[in-house]
Amino acid sequence: MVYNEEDSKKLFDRYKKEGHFDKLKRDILSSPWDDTGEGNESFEQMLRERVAITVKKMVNEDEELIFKNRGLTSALIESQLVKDSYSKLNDKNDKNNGDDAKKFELDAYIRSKLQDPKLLEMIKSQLQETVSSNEEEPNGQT
Amino acid sequence: MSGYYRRTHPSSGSYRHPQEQSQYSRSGQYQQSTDHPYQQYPNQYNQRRHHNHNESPRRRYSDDRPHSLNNGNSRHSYYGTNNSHSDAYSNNKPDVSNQKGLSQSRYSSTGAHTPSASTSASAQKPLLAQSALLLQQRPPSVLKYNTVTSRSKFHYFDPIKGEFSNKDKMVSWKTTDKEFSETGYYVVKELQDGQFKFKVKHRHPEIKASDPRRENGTILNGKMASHRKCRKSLVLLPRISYDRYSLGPPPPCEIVVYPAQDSTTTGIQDVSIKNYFKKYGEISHFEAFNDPNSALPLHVYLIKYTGSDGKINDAAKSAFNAVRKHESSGCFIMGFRFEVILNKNSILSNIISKFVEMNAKNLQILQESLKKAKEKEAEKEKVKEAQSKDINLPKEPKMDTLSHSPGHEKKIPYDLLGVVNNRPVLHVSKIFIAKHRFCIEDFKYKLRGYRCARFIDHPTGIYIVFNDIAHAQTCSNAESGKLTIASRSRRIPIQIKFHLILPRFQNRTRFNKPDSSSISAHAPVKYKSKEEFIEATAKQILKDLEKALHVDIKKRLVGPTVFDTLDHANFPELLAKRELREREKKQEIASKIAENELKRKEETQKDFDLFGLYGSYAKSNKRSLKRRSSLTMGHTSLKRKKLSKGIKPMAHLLNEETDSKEATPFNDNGISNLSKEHEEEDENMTSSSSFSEEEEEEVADKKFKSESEPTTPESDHLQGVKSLLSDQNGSDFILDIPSMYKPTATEIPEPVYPPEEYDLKYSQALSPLDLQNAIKDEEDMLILKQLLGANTPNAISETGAVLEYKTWKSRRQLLEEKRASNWQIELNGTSFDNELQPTNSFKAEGFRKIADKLKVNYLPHRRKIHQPLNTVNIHNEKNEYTPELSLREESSNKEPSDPVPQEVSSSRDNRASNRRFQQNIEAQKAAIGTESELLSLNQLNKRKKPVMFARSAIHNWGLYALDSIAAKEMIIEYVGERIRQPVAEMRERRYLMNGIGSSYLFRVDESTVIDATKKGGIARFINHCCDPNCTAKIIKVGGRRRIVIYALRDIGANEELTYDYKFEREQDDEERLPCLCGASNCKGFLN
Repeated sequence: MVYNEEDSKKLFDRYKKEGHFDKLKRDILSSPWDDTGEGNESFEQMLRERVAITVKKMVNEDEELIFKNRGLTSALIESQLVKDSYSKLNDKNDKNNGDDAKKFELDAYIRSKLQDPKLLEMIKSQLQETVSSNEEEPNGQT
Repeated sequence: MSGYYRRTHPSSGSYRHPQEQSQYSRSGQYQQSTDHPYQQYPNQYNQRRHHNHNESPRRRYSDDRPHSLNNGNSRHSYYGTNNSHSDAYSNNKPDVSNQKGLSQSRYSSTGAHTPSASTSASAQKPLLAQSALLLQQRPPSVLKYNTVTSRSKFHYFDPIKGEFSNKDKMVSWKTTDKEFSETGYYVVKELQDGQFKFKVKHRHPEIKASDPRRENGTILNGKMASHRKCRKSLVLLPRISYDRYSLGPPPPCEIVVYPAQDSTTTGIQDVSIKNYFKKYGEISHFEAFNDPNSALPLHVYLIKYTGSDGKINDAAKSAFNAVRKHESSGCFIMGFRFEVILNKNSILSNIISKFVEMNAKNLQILQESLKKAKEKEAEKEKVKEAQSKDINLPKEPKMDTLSHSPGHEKKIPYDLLGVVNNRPVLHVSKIFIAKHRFCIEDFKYKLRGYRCARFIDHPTGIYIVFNDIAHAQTCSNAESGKLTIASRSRRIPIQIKFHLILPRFQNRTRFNKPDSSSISAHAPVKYKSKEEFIEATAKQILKDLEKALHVDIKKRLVGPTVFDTLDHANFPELLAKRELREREKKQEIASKIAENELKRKEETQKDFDLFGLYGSYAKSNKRSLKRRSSLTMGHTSLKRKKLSKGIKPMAHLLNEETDSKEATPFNDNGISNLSKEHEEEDENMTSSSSFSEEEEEEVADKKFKSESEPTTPESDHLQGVKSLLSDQNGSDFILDIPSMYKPTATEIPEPVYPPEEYDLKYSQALSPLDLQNAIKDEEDMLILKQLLGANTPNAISETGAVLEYKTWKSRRQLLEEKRASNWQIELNGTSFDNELQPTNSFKAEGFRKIADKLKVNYLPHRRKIHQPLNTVNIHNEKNEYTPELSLREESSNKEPSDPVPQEVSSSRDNRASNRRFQQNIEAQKAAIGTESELLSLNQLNKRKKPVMFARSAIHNWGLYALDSIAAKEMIIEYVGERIRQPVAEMRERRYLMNGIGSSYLFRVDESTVIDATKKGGIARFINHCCDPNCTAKIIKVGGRRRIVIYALRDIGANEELTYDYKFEREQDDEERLPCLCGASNCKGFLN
């Protein structure tokens, strides 16, 4: 059987519809930050903490931030944090390294997570399943 | 004829001078043949120009004329110069063959040269022709010298020999007289001793003449010292109009139009040329010339102008204008350039021959090139055939060579190379497009049938790109030279030629579509196996996952966290700090405010003191308290504004700050101050009498004051008043007193009981009944007993039945009298006059006259006219026989209770409703269609008031108002027969004769009288009165004069209506009618 690009797209959609994609996402976000063991904190919690710390620092630097329009300020800060592949968050960590010896490298972490061969295998198996289920009921595909 | 003779014997013999003759004959100008008109005109033209240019020599020549015999040499030299000039201008070969023409031309040219010399100024031009004729027909004239007169004339000259008779004795003055300058003299005007004097100076011909302006330095550095324009060249004199006195050929009125050398004329129509030159004048002749060889148009045109009424000057003028207009820049017609030139000499033929030659040459060249091209073609074809190439060029290049310079190959501009991309292109040159103002859309539209890839508008022209060579070739073959697009500049369809530019390279490179190639490369991605497919999908999923993760982190994690952390609660220290700071600020502000308020208080205190000083003034001014207070308030507020420059207004501060309570004490103070002020003024107020005037304001004040502290004396006073009032209310004894005894608020004390009759009539004796009635209560009885001394027993001495009887009798009599007088009043309205009271029996008194006034007492219809008696019987009315007084009472009682509706509705409303009613009636009348008297009614009829006629106190019958009538209301129309004045007079007499004493004739105007005697309305019953309550007015209704009675004043019900008859005054006493109106101001007579 020959597959083309359209088929792959369709498969992807199917995969998403079955909820695998969201699950993967959630897993990655909620997985423990430190694989080595000690850190029980999930990635999400860690990130939140980081962000809170950074924002507090920023506020300490400039008090006026609190008293301005909250929504607008938060949007600005958010964009500042996100840009340059979360460099700000990482930086903050560097300065604050008294507490955390490890660097909080978000980008790197995500990359590592994604490049995990296990993940790929898992996805593949899931895809296999979907494909097989799809083939079982060809009527669904038109 | 005389003219002819005179000219054959010229007065100045200088022309017959043999030397001169030779000079003349030498100039080609004078001996030219007049065969060809074209040859003669330019010469004349040039000659004139020449003279105009060289004005000074000519003048000198004419000046020299008197000395012509003496200084012939110098004259020769001038002539020489002239002739040389004219030779230079005219390139004609002298034609000496025609001897007869010689003399003729000579004369004409003399005329042209020196018009003053010609003695016969009149009829020159026609004579020229005549003389020419005569010369041919007659034998040559012979000079008869032997006559006496001629001999005396020619004593110094031998006409036969043609030389001076004393020639041998003549010597040149140069050789004999050395005292004169050889070169001659000239006269100069010079300024000397403030006067211009003429000076004769030697001529120096060897010295070159120079511009005197330059010598004097008037032209300095290219600038003129004087304001006059410096003329560097000689200026043309105005053209001398050609008339019958003019010599020489008429001015040229023809122009030649021929194409300029650099322009190619194709397809231009003769009409357009003609139309173009029409604007300069009326064209009488238009000729287009063809090539004699090919019969193709040469586009050389001869246009002859004509003036209106054949005036040659106009024609010449238009021709000259046409030429001059196009002298410099040439003439562009339909985009082609033409030269315009005046037709003189053989210019036309020259031009034609030139063009013919040129065409012949061109043809030759073309033929040669054609041959060459054919040869080339043949060679090429051979080569092509040999090479068997795919591109087969048809005849296309041939066309190019035919129409344009051969061998010229168009090239695609460098910047278009990329766009064109080595595709075949059709090109149209920019010059061509610009000339006809084509645009790219024209081509797009015209070539829509072909598969053109692209149209490019380029500075070098329009390029039409084809993807396929075959398409380009078919398009070119079909359309080139055949396709026509309407030119925007010339408005005619223009054939368009395309240049096919073939691609140079066979292998096209695709520069412009890199994307498409990548897409096409990408499109057919196919996965051969299932694993591969899944792998690829998984990779895709991972990619998407990464993206989704980042988005999630940003939107779901970072964003909300940032927002949450920004919460105030997270930063308690900061908040505390801020609060502290704010508090400080507030305190600062508050202290500032307090300071300001203190200041302000002082100020206001001062203000109030100031006002206290003026308190008395305010009193006397009687200004309202409230206004004053508001004024002062305004004043203080103004002050406040002034004081609080940098500070917020109080209201704002109060709204803003809750802890700044310092302000309130001030407020209290201020109000108390104000209230104090009010006290003072209130005191003043109470002292002043204008209490009631300002009641309202005071009430307002009190309200205002109630807010203030109640410790003021003012409020004490108020309280006192209140307590007093409460005391009054508390004591009920006042209420117990019967109402009649209650105290009244009148100035003079009034009696409790109304005064009795005997109180008013002191004269009358008191009857016992009166006395009885007088005692009304116990108090009266007590007072009476005291007065009469009832307690004393001797008062009852004369008692008994007699007293009792007398008392009873007098009482009865009194009652009867009263009843009688009441009846009298009821009946006649007035009490019975005492004069009528019989002292004795009536019989004893005998006859006596009773005054009219007294008759009123017993004659009802003599009653006072303004109190009308109720003689009118109204059936519906209840109390028909009730006496009038009671009726009046009733009406007076009724009126206030239920007002009459008629009075409420105004006359205006009444009239309006009447109008509507009348319209309704008229509509009905129209519906019925017949004129009926029944329905004919007018406004006056409808507006009539309810009136009734009855016996009158004035005379016979009178008219009475049934209802009260307001003043100025219309009452009734005086209706009757409308008769003319004579008829009225006649009727009046007849009525008198018949014994009808009353006159019911009413005059409307001089000619018309209304007679209501036999036929008429009840208005005729209205009586005359010297003090009337109505008036008669003559008004116009529907164009007719009518008599209408209006109320002069308000008239009561049952009042008799009267108006002033306004009879003319009669001188005769017997005819005067006595007036019976009985008014106080009665004149006694009607007329």
